[in-house]
Amino acid sequence: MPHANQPIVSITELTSENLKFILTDTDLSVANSLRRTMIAEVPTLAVDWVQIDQNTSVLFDEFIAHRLGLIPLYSEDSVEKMTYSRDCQCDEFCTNCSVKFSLHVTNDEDSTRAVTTADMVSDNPDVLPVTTRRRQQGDDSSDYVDTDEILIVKLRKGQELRLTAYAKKGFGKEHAKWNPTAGVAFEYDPDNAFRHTIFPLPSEWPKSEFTELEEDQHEAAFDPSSKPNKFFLNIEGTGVLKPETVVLTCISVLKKKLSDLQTHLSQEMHSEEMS
Amino acid sequence: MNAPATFESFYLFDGEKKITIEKDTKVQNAAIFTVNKEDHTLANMLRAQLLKDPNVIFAGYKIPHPLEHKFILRVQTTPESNPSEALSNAITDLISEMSLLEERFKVFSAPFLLGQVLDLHLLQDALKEKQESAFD
Repeated sequence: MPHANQPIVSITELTSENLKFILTDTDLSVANSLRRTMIAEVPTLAVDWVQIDQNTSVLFDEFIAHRLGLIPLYSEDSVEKMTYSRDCQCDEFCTNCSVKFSLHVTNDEDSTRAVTTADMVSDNPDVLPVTTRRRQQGDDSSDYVDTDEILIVKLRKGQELRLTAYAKKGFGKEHAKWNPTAGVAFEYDPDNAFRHTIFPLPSEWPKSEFTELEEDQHEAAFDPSSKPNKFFLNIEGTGVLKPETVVLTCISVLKKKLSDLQTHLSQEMHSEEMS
Repeated sequence: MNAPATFESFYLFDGEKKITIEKDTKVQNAAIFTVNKEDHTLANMLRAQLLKDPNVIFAGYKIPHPLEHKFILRVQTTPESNPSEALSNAITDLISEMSLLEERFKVFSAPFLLGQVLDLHLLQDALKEKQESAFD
């Protein structure tokens, strides 16, 4: 371990929806790669294949399919056991690579019927829309979100919607529906000691929540020699994965990327030596 | 209409190699690594870690075109080492850093998670008590 960093983590807040922590003794590039991976490379489940058998609603088929894809599905514990559909041995779909959902609503009343996530029927009881799961767990409180079931489409009397959908494993790089975070806040050098940004008039700018300045100071003294060392991260989850799971999965995804690269590199080095 | 499939940004095609090494003919101990289907996430981390190695005299990366998902990493070392070895060490260091981070994170998040579980139990006990007292 000749030149490796020894990062220090200090967790400030950890709830079911939010995680705040401070990362010290690591590089800006590493902290940024963690941020990028949390957003784009942590796998989750989302609807990715829809077969519509009947749709007499006011929204066209692709519109409804798009909306279904964006519904957050509780993936904790389930997604890590599943394979990607493209890597699975089965033809089409199976329980190892997908979760089947069906939706069948007909409106026979005079009043408008709202088709929501409550009408979605899952094959796997562990994988449900986040709102349905919250309702089942009896958790009505949330600092951030509306906890009602998500509206898919509204039906008038006589209109019907019948479809089958499969949810697959994927990550944010392929489509934003697979993003497990609502936002990853990333900050370093709150008092601008490195002058990575130039304020025309520092007194105009509000101070960060992590500031160490006095009341009358607006900007820290210029420090030309040191590098960014302390990073403030805040991960807000959507309910798809617990925030701590997002971070742990992110680290394992990065480790896997690095070790796969290491394997390929040593193969290349070896084949170069042979020739 | 002409948009390529989004999985092309990370899915290696048949016959495509993950990493290729090309020795630089103009100077000694220099090589250009082409890594396919990767982006700044990996490239920047590797570059920064390489720069920490005292044997490395040059380390830089670029993404030649944003629509082609690959990066090239140029590494030049002193005669004591060679670019492939430097890169391999850099990767090893990063993996150990990630492992340490994972461990420390697990350790430091444990009291928070335990607190959540304990709170839940306390809440359930309090609710039970209330229900029982309501029946009296």
